[in-house]
Amino acid sequence: MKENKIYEIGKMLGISQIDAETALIKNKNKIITGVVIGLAILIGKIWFQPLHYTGASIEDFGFLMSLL
Amino acid sequence: MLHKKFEPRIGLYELTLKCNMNCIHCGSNAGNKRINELKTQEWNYVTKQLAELNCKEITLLGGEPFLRKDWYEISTEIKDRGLKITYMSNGLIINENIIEKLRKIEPKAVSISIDGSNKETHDKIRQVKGSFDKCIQVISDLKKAEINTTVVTSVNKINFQELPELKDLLLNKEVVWQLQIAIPLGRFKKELLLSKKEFYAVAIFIASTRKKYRIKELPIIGTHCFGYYSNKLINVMIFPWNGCQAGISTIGIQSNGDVKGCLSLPEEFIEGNIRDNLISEIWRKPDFCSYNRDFKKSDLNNDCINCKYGKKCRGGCLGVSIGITGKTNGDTYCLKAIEEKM
Repeated sequence: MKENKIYEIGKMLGISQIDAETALIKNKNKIITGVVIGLAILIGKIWFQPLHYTGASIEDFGFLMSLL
Repeated sequence: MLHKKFEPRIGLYELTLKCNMNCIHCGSNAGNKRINELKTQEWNYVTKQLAELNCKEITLLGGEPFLRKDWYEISTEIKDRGLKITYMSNGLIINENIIEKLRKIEPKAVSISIDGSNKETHDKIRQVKGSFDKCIQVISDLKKAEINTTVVTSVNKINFQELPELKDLLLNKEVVWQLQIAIPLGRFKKELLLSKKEFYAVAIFIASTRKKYRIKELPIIGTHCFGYYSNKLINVMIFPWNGCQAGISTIGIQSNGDVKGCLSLPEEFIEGNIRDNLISEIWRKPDFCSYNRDFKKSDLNNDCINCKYGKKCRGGCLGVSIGITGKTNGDTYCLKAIEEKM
């Protein structure tokens, strides 16, 4: 999918091109995300979860987002 | 001894199938309670067994879990055994008395469903007049009581366009916002399922909203149906997708004691009953959740057949795959697959 197509689809929900651009993954994100989540799993802070049913708690959310 | 690879870290309890709403998207077709639902002592015995199997978290849902008069006793047992508790509720009967008890339980989260940015849409989807106003008030009351609160929105064609307005409503309310797509299971009609383009738009919405606002303003997350391996968008789930967890780290127990790997799965996935066997016996059965434990690449269906992530992903959420395509291991609502086709 071309980035222009993403911007076009984003418009369905009134998302501007500038905002849609922020949603795109950067290589840097991939590396940081991989390292942080890998570490979190290793120390037993998180495990793979069926998110439909865990209420997306701020407890887990805050921990990961503070690092990402 | 249990193989560490398979450990029921998360238990899902359908406390009752009884519900005081009649949501058009209900995957469980909730309303009336099941015949012969488990008694308090039976649920507490389930908790004891799961705690012994190293379970870490229990989610109480339904139906509407707070319709069970003994929800607090069951919760106390879970808490006393050191397990975390999450509640999935429609919010309708949560009152001062329930909130006071919830404060004692100190849940990981109480999730309340909001399915529209206004009373017309929410009440239409939930089929209970006045429920929107009531739920908004309950969310405010839970926050005042300093209880972690999550708003869950099941997105379908009726409320899709309202997400930006709903975002404005939830901004700075100190709630987590969890978005998931409504799946054609139970009562939900397939014609109200989002198109793939709309689905992708929601993923962009989640990703861009997360970047736009700080956690304190609005933590937003897509559930595991928003995935699985986008090459374009930041991970809207936060947690990495590592395949369906039914029978791997998750166990679901219906209100009549029937056991499945996950409560999202249809009836044909029932693999035992806690009245007939110990949970450890069911969990250790050689063929328990073999669709995950003994998964082979040749089990993949639809677009997933030649996917390089197939072995790890196992074709996405099993419940979603079955609901949308009628086949296992081939969820076509996959960000990666959509990106490759559009």
